[in-house]
Amino acid sequence: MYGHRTGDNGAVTGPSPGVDPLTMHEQILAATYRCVARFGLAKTTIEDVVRESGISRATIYRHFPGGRDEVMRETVGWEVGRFFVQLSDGIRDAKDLVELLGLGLRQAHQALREHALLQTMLQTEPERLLGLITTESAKTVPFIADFLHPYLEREDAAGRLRPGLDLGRAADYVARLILSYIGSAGRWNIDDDDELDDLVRHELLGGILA
Amino acid sequence: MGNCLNVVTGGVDKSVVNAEPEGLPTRILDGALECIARYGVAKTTADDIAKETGCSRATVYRAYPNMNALLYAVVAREVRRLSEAVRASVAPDGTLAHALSATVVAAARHLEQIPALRVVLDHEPEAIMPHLAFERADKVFAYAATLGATVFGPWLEPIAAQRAGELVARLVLSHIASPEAATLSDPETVRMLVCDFVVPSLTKIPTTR
Repeated sequence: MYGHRTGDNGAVTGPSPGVDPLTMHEQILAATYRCVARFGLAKTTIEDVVRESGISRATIYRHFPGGRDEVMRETVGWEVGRFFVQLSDGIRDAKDLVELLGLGLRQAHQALREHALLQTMLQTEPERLLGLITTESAKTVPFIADFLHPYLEREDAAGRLRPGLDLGRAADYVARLILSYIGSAGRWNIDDDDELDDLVRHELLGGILA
Repeated sequence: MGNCLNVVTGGVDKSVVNAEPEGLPTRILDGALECIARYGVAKTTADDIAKETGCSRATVYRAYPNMNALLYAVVAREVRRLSEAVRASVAPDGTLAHALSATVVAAARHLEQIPALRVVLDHEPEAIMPHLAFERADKVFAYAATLGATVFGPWLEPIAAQRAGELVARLVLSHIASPEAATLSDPETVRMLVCDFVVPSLTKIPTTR
């Protein structure tokens, strides 16, 4: 379970008693994120993270046995996760599913455009970043599906969904597509109200709304 | 080497895609795919490919002046093969649902049986995913839309047929990018997906836009 560098002396370099290991985990990711913002993905080292976080190398390795690669991957995954949590917080008061998805798509595109570090890194090290970001984003499908599920239940209870619809499969389908459209709008103009409405009502929800 | 996969994203070069390479160039591309499956994109060298193909490094370079050109040709050929598999999967006398299911299954199966692709997706996503992300993916979807216009033309108005092509591409990409990749090669799963979600979304669209 513990990293290869700790062995039986894990307790010596382990988190001090009373410190929540989750918090430690997050501290490491937050420090790595700050390092990446400063030095980039390629140049950030574990030593940088040690300096930035004040957490020992041994402890970092215990939390991330895969070392630097794992820390980087998890940091990108952590930021992707934060992105979706913020997005879902910003839209959860939408009055119905159509508004929820429309707001979600538009706010996601805006947030991506305004994400300073993302935009910088897309210029400076796109390959390295996108390899990580796309694989980590793919892992958010279940998160998005879980987020959508209660909205589908509410619409279903109101009789606005196609009778006999399997809500779990519907949530998965919409989650995959919405993630796809957040990543790239393709031939759609998300900023155009009519196009966005068409996209949400027909492309995303054509088989779902009654 | 990173930009070698731009074939999917930089618009498909017709001269590369349509030219059916004969003999040696074909074997070199086969050799390159073998090497990528074994060593990954970044670590594959012209020497490896020459050894795998059974020719000299000079011969590899005569056919493809640099690794980028070679990898471009590898991807172009796979894109062309994928397009052919998708076209060939559609029976003209079937229904729209049949056609959509057939193309999804054909694309998913075709992609699954390229060992190099699985290896790159699992171990070297940075070699391919950048070309399938953000605005670069737009070009993939534009290509899929064009393909959709021909493939689904018999059943749908041109706008809807293009949308169908893009939608199929999004579904297939979503499933190969996420861990439970195999589901779309199962015809029954796909048939339900298509009948429940895809067909209704295509038949409800307004024809005015």
